Amino acid sequence: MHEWVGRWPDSLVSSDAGLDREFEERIRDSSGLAFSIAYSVLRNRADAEEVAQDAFARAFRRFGQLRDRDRFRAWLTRMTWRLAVDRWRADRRRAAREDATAAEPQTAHTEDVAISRERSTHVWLAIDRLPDKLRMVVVLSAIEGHDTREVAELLGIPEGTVKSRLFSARKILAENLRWLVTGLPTR
Amino acid sequence: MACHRFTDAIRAGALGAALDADAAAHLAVCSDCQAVFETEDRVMAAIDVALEDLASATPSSHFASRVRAHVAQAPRRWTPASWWMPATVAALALLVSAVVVSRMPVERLPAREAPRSRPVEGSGVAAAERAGDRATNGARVETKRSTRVRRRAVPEPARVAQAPEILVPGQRRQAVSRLFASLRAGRPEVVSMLMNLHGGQAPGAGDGLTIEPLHIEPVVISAMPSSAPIVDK
Repeated sequence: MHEWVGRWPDSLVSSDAGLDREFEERIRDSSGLAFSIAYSVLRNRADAEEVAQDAFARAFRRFGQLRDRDRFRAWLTRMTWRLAVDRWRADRRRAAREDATAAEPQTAHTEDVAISRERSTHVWLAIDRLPDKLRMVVVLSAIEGHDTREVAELLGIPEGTVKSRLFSARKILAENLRWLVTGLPTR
Repeated sequence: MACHRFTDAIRAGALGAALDADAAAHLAVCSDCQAVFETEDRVMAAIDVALEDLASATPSSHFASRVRAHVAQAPRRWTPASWWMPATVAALALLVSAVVVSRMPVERLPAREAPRSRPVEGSGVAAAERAGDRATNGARVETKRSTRVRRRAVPEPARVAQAPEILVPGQRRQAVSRLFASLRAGRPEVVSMLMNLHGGQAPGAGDGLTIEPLHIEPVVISAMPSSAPIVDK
């Protein structure tokens, strides 16, 4: 409980306590989502956690103003995405940091892992170049196995729009990444 | 190549779109289109692998507790909107009202509106009568008619004078004004004025008449408009 609460009437204190409890539940439910969204943009664990924390802090400050609490996840999704993209745009050196922190143990299939990692890097570069609307749909669809209906709820758009955007995104990605499997540069 | 017309449909199929019957039938027998389909399928697989990496990325074990700690340090900007917004609006409205009322001229305040004739009529006429009684010392002067106050039976105008207004016949306005001034000042000539108003005789200098000053509220004596209906009080 925050110290300022002591200055307010009991009704407000109890109200705050209720909101605090509710927010605690939201943290439990949605911290993974916030992290994943931030990670999808930043692809750096530390940065993603930091952005997710900021998103929760902002959400906490305004939680009492949120009329429809059922929309919390959608609200948090947008907030986290915006913060992450801002951070990503402000820090173009994230790729270098990612390389520095990617110190995973080597496996027996080193060559396969290297190829896979290289492909993954190219895929993410292509995803990063997608328009924000398409990019968000691709990422949310991949996070926690969200289907198109859940993505539509999170973004507050019709499910048909999600499907359309997803198809457009995959089409653009396929065109830009075809060379990965054919060995021929596209365009 | 004849199967170019199916290429887009086959690529779309690899992306998840439904293949129509013709395209599906062609795909089943055309090795080139099968190669196109497989290429697209492998691209999609590469994308899915990259996205699986995203799905498998999890925060550190202490992430939730760090979020709680971070949130606990965040200043809470909100208070329940159900009470503070209306309270703020009400307080502002009250403040504005107080400022407006405090700056409003006194004569525009409805409850404080100065009475127009009655107090003057009461004080002025009664004073005149008392003065007349004293002045004549037995020879009563009929002052009631001379200072009779009449009120217009028309709606009050929007502008209300600060001092009560007395309407008198036009030709007597000056004389009544002087009468009130004399009563207020306690000058002996008030008697002669009262007498002269009605054609009576003024008292002589040796009558030993003394007039004490009377407290009369300031009044405005105006000529009665000829068009206004007159109601005797």
